[in-house]
Amino acid sequence: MKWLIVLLVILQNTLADRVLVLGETAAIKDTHSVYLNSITARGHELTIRAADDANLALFKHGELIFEHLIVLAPGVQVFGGSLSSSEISKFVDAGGNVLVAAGSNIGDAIRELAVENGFEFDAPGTAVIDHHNYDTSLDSGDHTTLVINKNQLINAQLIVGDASKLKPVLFRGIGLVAGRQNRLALSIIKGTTTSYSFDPKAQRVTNPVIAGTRTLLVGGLQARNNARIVFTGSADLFSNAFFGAKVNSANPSVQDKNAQSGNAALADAITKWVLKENGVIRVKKVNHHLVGETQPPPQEYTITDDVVYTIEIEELKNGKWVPFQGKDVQLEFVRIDPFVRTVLQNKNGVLTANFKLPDVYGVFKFLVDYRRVGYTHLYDVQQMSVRPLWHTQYERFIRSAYPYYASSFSMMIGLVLFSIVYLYHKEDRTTGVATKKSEDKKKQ
Amino acid sequence: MSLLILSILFIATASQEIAVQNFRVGILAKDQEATNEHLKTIPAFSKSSELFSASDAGQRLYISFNLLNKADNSKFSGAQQVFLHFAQESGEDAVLVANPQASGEYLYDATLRVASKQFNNLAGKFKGSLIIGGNTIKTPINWYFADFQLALPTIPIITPKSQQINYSQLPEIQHEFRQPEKRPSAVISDFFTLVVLTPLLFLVGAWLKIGINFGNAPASIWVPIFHAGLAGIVGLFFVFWLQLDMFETLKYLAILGFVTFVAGNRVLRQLAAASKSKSE
Repeated sequence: MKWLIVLLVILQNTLADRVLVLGETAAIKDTHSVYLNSITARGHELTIRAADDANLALFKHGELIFEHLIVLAPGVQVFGGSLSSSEISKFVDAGGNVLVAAGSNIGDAIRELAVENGFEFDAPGTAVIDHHNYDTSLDSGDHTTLVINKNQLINAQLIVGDASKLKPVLFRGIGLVAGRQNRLALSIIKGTTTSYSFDPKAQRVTNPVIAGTRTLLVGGLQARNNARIVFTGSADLFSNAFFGAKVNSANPSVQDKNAQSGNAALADAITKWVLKENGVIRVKKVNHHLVGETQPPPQEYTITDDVVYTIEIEELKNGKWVPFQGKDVQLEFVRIDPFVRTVLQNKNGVLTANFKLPDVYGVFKFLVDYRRVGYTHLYDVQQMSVRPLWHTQYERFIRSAYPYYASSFSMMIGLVLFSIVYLYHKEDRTTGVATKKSEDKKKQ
Repeated sequence: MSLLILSILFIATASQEIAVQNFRVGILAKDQEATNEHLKTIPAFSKSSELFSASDAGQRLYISFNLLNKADNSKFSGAQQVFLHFAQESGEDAVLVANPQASGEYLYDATLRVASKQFNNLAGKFKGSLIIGGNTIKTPINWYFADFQLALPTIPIITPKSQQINYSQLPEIQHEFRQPEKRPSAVISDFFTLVVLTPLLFLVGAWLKIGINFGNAPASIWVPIFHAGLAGIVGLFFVFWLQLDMFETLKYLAILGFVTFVAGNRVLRQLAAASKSKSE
């Protein structure tokens, strides 16, 4: 709990983040200037280098010298300096975020990096091809300049922005797939059913490794330490050329003709997500107590107590922590398995739940495990014992037990009376009951 | 000039229109011949009403068709993408490639066991589509032609609980409290309360009948103290039942018990002394 807050405080303080941008050459400053300027405009500090620069490093004396890494160098075979795919994995483990854009000329360095993170790019020289959804004006004839539609995007506004307002997006590059074991993989942009990845020069597609909606154009994941990684097969997606292009889809069902491309909006949204400007939440305060009180009990709860649980959650929006408005946060009351699971009522960032503790005693946890696509993983545990009733807390006057009470007390009263009679009764041997009666008879 | 001719040529080839002909689909037994009686011919761009269903991994999925150049009805072989696309309701899909035969016909023919490699561990209901595309094809084809129910061999994927990632809301859990045991009705318990009290009434009644006296009572201050102590202990037990807890009760019982013990000792000693002197 504490470390989470500490971590989040650190994140907050370093919002003016240092970003290392790697291009194939320094020319990236020109070809992708609009994109890079938009990042600078949001207050990030960019360092633009060639990917094979001999002085590259992510760590200095074991400390991160960059918070984020953007690789727009598809063809790089070997990273320069101390950079390598394992070094970048270490960077991710330390909380760094990575955005990687590849292309059909993909080099070993990028492929290896993808594999380390549970994604796999297709072989060099291949490209994603879609004969149904290419751009008629920009395409060179092999149908590799694709037009991405809204329905290919992941249903997560935090990652891709407002999909309903997004214009068609241009894509030209290589396809990738998520590894079978990659359970954290997010299909940020999928291929269409008609798309496939193959050598565009081939006469006939024989056995495509990647085809259909399994094709990923943009894939991402949020690691268990909340570091974010995005892979895309197209560095052109971020280029000035595509930002300013007009889109003419070959698909007759796309109504927008000659429309401004949505690349700038999409690249912005994805980059904001990767650079942790979006979808970051944290716990501000947690409290739980009996109904009518304000503090947790000093030691433990009793079974079937009525308890109030309150958690305050904040979300990072435009650089400020504001109350979190999600309505689907759930609280679990867990002893190995959850006994109670209930939705927390959100009142402007203060989420509460009222519930009756189960009639089972033991060591329980109040657990909030909030994991939603796009948000950082929120996990909070409060441990508390629940004890059984004291012997005085059981029901004392049970109607159906009155025969038992009555018989015990009648025994006790009997004892008192009997002790008096037994000790002090003086039996007159001559004038006992029997003789007295016979005497009475004689008198008659 | 030659560049212009090239580009004209390119435009010419890029505007080829194609048609699908003799599209036959069927589920065949292992060694069954692909004759027309076992296959169903689906007219181009219509959807078959038949559900093609295979329940055994040894059965074959058979699909064959011809591609024609619309302009001169010649066999067309310039398509790069000749795919059979199988989509599930969930959005997951699989792609099979139809291969051209020597006769110019495109064919997919494989047992489900072999096909399952392309199906990414999917099985069940599929929507089958034919996807034809190529650089030279003007209007690519994406035709949903039939539904399939394929019992493909799958390997169940079991994810350990610790590795499961759940992004959605989980079902609510209400704790089911233990229900209290059923109790007899108030009438019965009240009746038996009276029943258990009758022996005491009988005792008192019988004593009065036979006549009791206190002739043996020694004239001593200890006698009322002893019996008050005894009655006090019983009374304490009654209060214990009403409100006290065990520790408070023991505290009071210690005082009462001591007094009663001393008083009882004195009373019994006097009684013993009296009976001893009488017998002598």
